[in-house]
Amino acid sequence: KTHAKPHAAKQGKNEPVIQLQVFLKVSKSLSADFKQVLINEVGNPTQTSYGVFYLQRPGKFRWDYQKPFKQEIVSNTGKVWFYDTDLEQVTVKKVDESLGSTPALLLSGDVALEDNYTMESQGTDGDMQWVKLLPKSQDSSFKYVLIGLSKGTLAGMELSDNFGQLTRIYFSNVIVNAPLKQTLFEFKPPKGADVFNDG
Amino acid sequence: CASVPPVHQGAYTQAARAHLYGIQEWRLQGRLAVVSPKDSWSANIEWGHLPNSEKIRLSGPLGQGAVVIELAGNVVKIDRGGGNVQTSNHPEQFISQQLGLLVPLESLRFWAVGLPESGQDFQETSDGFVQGGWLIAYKEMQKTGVETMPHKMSVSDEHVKLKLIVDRWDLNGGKTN
Repeated sequence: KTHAKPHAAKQGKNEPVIQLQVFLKVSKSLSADFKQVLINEVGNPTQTSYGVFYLQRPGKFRWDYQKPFKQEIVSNTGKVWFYDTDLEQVTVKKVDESLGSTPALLLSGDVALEDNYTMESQGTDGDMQWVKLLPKSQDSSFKYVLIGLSKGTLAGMELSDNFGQLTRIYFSNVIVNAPLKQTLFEFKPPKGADVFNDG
Repeated sequence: CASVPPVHQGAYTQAARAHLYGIQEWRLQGRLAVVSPKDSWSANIEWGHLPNSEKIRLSGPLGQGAVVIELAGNVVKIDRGGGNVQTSNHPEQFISQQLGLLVPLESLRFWAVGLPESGQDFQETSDGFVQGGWLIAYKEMQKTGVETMPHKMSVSDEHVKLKLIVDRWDLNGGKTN
């Protein structure tokens, strides 16, 4: 896949987009902790959750919520397993059906960003450089996704849904290109969970 | 919020909860799973109950694919955001067709707070009751202020099983956003 060469972008203005493209090209694997805050249309945080995120390009990721409840989202070979411990339910869906353009998918390299999004540099605040991704397809479940890089590495994300609710994600302990155990990306359904495979 | 310590509960009795019929407003936040031969899905759920209307928000992890259902009387509105709104005055059929939510919401709004729908027959079981051909089972309860409210419950018939985990209850003064 050759990335469309950005047109003669002035170095400063388009810096964040270039940084993102470089980051996506350079980072073959990634692990990070995350904090996720849901913010409703009137700006009140409604729920905060914590977890871990692993990524192996191309096409493999694990997005686990650990607190306040446990959910596992694992993707490889074009499928996504979603498991909620309390609900004791596993659903398996094809990647494009289940999570469409979720951030994990964006970063996993399964989706070529340029084909599916227009990318706009949002400039720099503090040491964070932000890029806005606007879905080209109308039926995306997001209005936009913001990806924040700090010193060239993934640091934050923000997703705005069609109601104006925001999902803000803060990454920490980000480690790039460390070897990751492949079992991280294999999902073993626990005993007794209802498993539904329409993937 | 710390994980919810389950409350030991004796056999289910409606009488012990009948005062809850008087609650005018409540809000719950949690997770829902539906299992049926046709389809299975799970979602985050926020439900705001007002005296004569229900507002339910379903969304996937990371908040994507959000849908808001508003039910008042026999009119239902399904809003997928960005101007994509559909309404119908056959709520039960429309909701089941559009969202695969195959359990009647009008009844679920009673069942969710641990009560049989008022004015309909029911038979009590050890951990819930049977009503309208559905088996409602309260697996775990939780302390919510002075009340004991469902934390983990299931609603099933021979084709469909709905599982609901309520992570947070707001009773009475529940603000709906």
